Amino acid sequence: MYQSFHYSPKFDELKIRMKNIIATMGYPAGDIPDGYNQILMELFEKAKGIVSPQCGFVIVPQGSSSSSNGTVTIGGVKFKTDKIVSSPLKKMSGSALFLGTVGAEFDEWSKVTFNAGDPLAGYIIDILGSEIAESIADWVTDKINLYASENGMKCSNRYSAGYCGWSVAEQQKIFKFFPENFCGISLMESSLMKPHKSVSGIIGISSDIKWKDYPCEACNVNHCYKNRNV
Amino acid sequence: MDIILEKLALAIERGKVNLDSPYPPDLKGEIGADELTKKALEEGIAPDSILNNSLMIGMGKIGDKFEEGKAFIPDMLIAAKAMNAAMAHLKPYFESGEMELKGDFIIGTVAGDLHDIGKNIVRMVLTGNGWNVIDLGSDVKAEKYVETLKKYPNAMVGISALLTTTMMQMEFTTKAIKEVSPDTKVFVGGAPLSKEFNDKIGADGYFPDPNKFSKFLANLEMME
Repeated sequence: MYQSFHYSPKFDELKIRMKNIIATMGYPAGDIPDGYNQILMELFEKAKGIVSPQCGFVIVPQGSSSSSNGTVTIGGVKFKTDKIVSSPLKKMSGSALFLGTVGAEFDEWSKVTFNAGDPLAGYIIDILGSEIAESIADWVTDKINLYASENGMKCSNRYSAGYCGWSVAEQQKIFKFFPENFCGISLMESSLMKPHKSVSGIIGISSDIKWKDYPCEACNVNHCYKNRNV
Repeated sequence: MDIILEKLALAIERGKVNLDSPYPPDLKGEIGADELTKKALEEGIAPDSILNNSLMIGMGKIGDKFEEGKAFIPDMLIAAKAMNAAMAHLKPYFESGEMELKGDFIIGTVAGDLHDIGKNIVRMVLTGNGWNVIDLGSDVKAEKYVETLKKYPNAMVGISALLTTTMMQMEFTTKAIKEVSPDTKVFVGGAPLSKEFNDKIGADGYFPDPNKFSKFLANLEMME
C-alpha cells in the first residue's frame, strides 16, 4: 500500500570496508598477519560469486517522534524505540523503512566451511557477511537519500531494532510494512532475520531533519559493532 | 621435554596444521601437528604424554596469549584446528579406553536463535582441550538438551544466545535441565549476556571468552 522500491545492487557497487573486517577479527590497527590477510582476500574474491545482494525500502509519508516518551510513530504504528532513537528523529514528518540482505547462499557457505573443518575461514566468512550486509545498508541508505533529495527533503541517520536501546523484538513491526518475503527475507518469531546476514531499519525524512552521528557515549552496549567507545 | 614434543607444542601454538598448510607463513614447507603427532607415536612416545606434555602445553600457551590480548580469535581457531589434526591420531586410544577424554559437554544455541559462530568457537576450543563435545546445533529446544542428557548423564551443558529476545529462552532451558537433573552444571555465553543475567536465571556460570571457560572447566575437573 506504500510506495516501495526494490534493487539488486552489483557486488562492485558496494563499499566494503576491509578495515572494519580486520578490526572485528581483532586487529584494530589493520595490522593483520600476512597469512590471515591472504585468507581474507581469497574469501573476499570467492564471496563475489556467492553474494546476491537485494535491498529495498518503502516510503511512509506520515511519521512523528516523541523524544520525551522515546517513541516513534510511522503510518499509525507506534515503535517503542528509546530516546536514543526518538530524539534525533523529532523533526521527522515521514519515514523510509528498509530491508537488505546478502542472500541465502551466504549463510550456507559460512556454516558448511566452519563445519567442514576450516573454522578460521568459517569465522572470517561470518565477519565478511556482516560487513557486506552493512555495505548493502549503506547502498540503500544512499538511494533513500537520493529519493528524499529529489523530493526536496532530508534524511536522518538510519536506526535498527536491536541497537541504540531499541528492542530487536520491534523488528516485527518493521516487517509489517513490507510484502511477505520482500527481498527474500523472512523474520522468525524470535525476530531473527533469515537469511541471517540481513539488515532492517528506519530513516526519518522531513524538510528540516538533520543527520546526526550515533550517540555511542549514551549507550552501554559494548558488543555493538557501531560502538565507538570500544 | 623430548624435541618432537616441543616441536608439536609449537605447531599447536602457532596453528601449523600439516605440511600443506600455508599458515603460518614462516613455517611454510615444514611438517605440522598432523605429521608430528604421527611421528611421535611411531617413536614410541605414550599417547597420554603427547597429550599432556605437548598438545595441552601448546593450547595453553595460545590461550594465555589470547587472555593477554597478544592473540586473537583467528589464532585460537587455527590452533584448535591444529589440535584437532593431532587428536585424530589419538582417537583410537580414546576409543580403546587406553586414554580418557576429560568428560562430556553438551553445547547448543538456544531455541529461536540461529547464531552459531560463538558456539562453534567454544566447541573447537573445548574439543581441542580434550572434551567430548556433543554439538546440538542451533535453535535447540529445552527438550533436546534434556533428551541428550539422558544419553550423557554426567555431561555439563553450554547454552549460547546472541539476541536479547532469545536470551530469555535460556532461563526456561536452564530450569528444564535443572528440573530433571539438578546437579548438572549449566553454563551460558553470548554477547548480550552478563554475570548478573547468569545469576538471575540460575545458571552456573557466564564466561565472556572460550579460553577462560576452558580453564575454568579444567579446574573444575581437577576439583572433582
